[in-house]
Amino acid sequence: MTRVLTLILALLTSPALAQVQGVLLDEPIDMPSFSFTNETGAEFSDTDLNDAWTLIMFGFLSCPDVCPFTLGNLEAAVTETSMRVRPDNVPKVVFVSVDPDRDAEWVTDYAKYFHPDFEGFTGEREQIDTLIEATDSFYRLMRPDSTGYYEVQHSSSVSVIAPDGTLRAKLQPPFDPGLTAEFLARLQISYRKELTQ
Amino acid sequence: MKYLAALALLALPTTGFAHDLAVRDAYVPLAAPGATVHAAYMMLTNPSAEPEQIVSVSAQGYAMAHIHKSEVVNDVATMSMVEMIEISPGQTVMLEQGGLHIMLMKPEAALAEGDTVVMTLEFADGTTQLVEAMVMPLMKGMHGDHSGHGS
Ligand SMILES: [Cu+2]
Repeated sequence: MTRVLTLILALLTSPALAQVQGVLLDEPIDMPSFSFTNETGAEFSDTDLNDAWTLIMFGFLSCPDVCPFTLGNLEAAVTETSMRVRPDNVPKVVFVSVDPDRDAEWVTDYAKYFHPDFEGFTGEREQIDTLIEATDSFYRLMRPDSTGYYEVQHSSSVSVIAPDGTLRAKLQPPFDPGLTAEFLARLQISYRKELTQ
Repeated sequence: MKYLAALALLALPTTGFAHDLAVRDAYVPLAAPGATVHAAYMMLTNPSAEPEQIVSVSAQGYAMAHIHKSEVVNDVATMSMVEMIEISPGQTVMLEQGGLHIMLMKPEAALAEGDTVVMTLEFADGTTQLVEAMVMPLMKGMHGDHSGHGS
């Protein structure tokens, strides 16, 4: 009873702790083969997932609110994480545009605006759908308005891929930098424990 | 020329006195390359005794502006048009990241820090109010800082 009370008090006194920054998957999910490109000619494929932690965010460039703030928060979260983990465990951040028709010419510049190490890619619809499905994510292009402009709905969470190339967790809004870094650091500890067992 | 000046003077009182929302922390985040849509955020308070209804917005330097609302429902981020922002007497409405915002479509030029974006709020009775928003870095605007103001 005392313990429960203490916990509740802790939550009350620091409301930020009550936010869930991520969810762990019950079972790791293997990623299928996929391939994306960008305007610099670089490629991002499933083999790039090996030997590093990767955060994959889906979005689109004509998104003035949710996407830039997610990337801005990820930048802060990765900076936080880099103070807690070894340099080779600092996650790579990959932005995947689900709107290649409008975004193909800009997706790298866009991602690098938030951090020079961030990467941006897009690709064929089929490749996008493959990765969306594999990460249990979602997107939908909405009907264009009279000016031809259309909205894109997309998953708000960010997929966390471990160095063995499997999906392990999802980061969730509001992506508080400190708490997200804490979540990632803990995830990495449990991952290493699992490997040594 | 004189005629124009007189006209301008005549025009002023009708746009601005009828509606005087208190506007605080109006800002437009700097946008990444390739972003053809910007957003404006602000805090609007209605100090009058009458409810205020903002029915449309226009912005200088943009083809169009809409009142929009972002939402995350079941992990899906969506945006939708909002017909009207109603602010009752004494109430404050936040336009903030992840919620209500002014969607600024098709900028004529790239934004630079320190620029001002001038917007016109139009009310249900047809009168208007000008709002000036500062252009500033994304996270600076976000943290800078709405929590300091009591409601
Ligand atoms: Cu919007």
